[in-house]
Amino acid sequence: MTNSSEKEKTVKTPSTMKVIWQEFRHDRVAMASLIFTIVLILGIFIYAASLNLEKVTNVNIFAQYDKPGQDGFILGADEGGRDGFKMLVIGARNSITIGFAVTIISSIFGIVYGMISGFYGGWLDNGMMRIYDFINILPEIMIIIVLVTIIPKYNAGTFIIIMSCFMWLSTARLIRSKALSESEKDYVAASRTSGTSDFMILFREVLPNLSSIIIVDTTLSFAGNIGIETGLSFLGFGLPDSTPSLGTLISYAQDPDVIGSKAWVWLPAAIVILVLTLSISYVGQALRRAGDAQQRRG
Amino acid sequence: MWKTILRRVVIMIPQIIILSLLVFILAKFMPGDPFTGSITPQTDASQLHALKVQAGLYDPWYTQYIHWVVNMFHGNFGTSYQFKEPVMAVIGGRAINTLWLSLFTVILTYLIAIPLGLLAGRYEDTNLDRGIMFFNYVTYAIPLFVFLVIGLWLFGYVLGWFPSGGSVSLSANGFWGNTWSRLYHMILPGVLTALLSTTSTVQYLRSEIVDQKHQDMVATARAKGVPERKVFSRHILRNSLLPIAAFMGYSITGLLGGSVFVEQIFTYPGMGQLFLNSISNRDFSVITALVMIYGILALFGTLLSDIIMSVVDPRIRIK
Repeated sequence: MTNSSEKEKTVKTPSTMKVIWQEFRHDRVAMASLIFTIVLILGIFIYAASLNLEKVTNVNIFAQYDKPGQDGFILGADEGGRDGFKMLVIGARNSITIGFAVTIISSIFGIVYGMISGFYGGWLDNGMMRIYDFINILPEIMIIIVLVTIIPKYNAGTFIIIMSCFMWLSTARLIRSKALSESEKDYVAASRTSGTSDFMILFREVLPNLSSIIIVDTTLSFAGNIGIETGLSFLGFGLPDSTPSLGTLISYAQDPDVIGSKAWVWLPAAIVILVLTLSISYVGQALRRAGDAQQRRG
Repeated sequence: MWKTILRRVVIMIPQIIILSLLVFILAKFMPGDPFTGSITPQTDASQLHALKVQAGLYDPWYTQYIHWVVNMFHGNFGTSYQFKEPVMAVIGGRAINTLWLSLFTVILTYLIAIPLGLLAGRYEDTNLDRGIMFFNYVTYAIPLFVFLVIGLWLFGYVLGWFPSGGSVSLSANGFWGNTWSRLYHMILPGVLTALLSTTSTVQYLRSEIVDQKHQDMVATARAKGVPERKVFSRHILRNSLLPIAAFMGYSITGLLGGSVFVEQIFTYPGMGQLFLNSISNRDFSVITALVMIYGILALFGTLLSDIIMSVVDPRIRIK
């Protein structure tokens, strides 16, 4: 009895997540940007769900290049007379969804790759890092574009997979270096002597210790992936035409007349991308500060 | 040191082989063959077949691959379907344009990044440092193409300070006229790209200087009574600036990736624009050659960085 009550009294070391959350709560700007990002993304998704995609993308030649405010279009209309604001919301939803999917797939792959490489070390690590080095120097944008053009059944799903093939690299390298230093720690050796399987050590013991780094890295790559997807769609090699992306909307600016005198067609999409990537990255940077004891502000 | 460099070069050989295999496989998946462009309703099918046999299109893949590699070493990438010219002739002029723009951008990047990194490191934790770090966060987060489009719109159209596209204006004549016109066309894309490429250099230089500040040798210099300004210019700067030189090679790799966006947005006739143009015209011999060239350039970029690094930092050599 006395033993158990003593145990209850011992103060638990706060978990990494708890520390981060407490640091985060004190950083007002970071908290504001987190709330702003969530509200913005939720708003886009809720409004987009109420829209009928076919109705929005229907061409209405009479409304071609309507100015903002004309015919009830808040942000004007584009070349096909489509409502600029509704297109913007749908494009933003698609870009966020793709960016999110790519981030999840590539992060999971990168985490597993990096953990195995760093944890086992030796020839396995060496070989895996050679593969990493090689993919790292490939001209990724060009190869993605070539793949997009030669793949027969091309749709949003294949695009996500193609992008994920190249976006796991930085995560893998970061996780590898952390897993390498974790694997030399005493708790891993202790666990090993008591007969825990490598799989359990990796995912039950090492992984939680990397959680703060993973959260920061995932947030930052989310912003980065939105940038890359919209960039590829801007060039015309991202999302297929049937699913507009923010990049597709900006690509109208490649017409000298549109960029010069019809800024309402593309500028809002550019601003939405800026706002999205800046706010998501800000959250990421604040998380990094919170996770790093040396940089803590509060 | 020569041993390190030699070892590093040897590592590159398998990389080039795998790269060429990859590009070859991609090329094989691209629809069409070298004769697709010349087929007309009058083309005799048996004659076409004979031509294909002659060109080795029915050979096993490894024979075709070796044939392709040998041709490549002779600078023969085939004929462009779109321009009806040898691929190397098509790429040649564009490559020089891309080279000039990249060189200009690299120089600008360092001109912007080095002072910012130095100031941020020296005046650590002041408002100046916070301002520079904020700038760094913005350049890190913004996607290049959005920045370029907005910059083009603002300075090329709304304010009209710079030309909105091309590499040289038609009215320019004479050597100086031409050079000035070229430079004038490069300013906007160069400056905008350079601003966004500074992130890693600024970050690296800043943390390097902050680290150096707490070194014993700096404390010794201070204790000897060396003025603060000299401590920075003589003791800290030298040690911190050297690794930056090594970034040069990596930045080439980065710029090449960006050149697709920059050249497309500014309709600058370089390799990146040629690549997109060839993709939309299904000019696969040019595409294959460009992917190969970009890959090899990136390989040489990292090679250059690693060599500079091993020259500058002896610790890497021992590893």
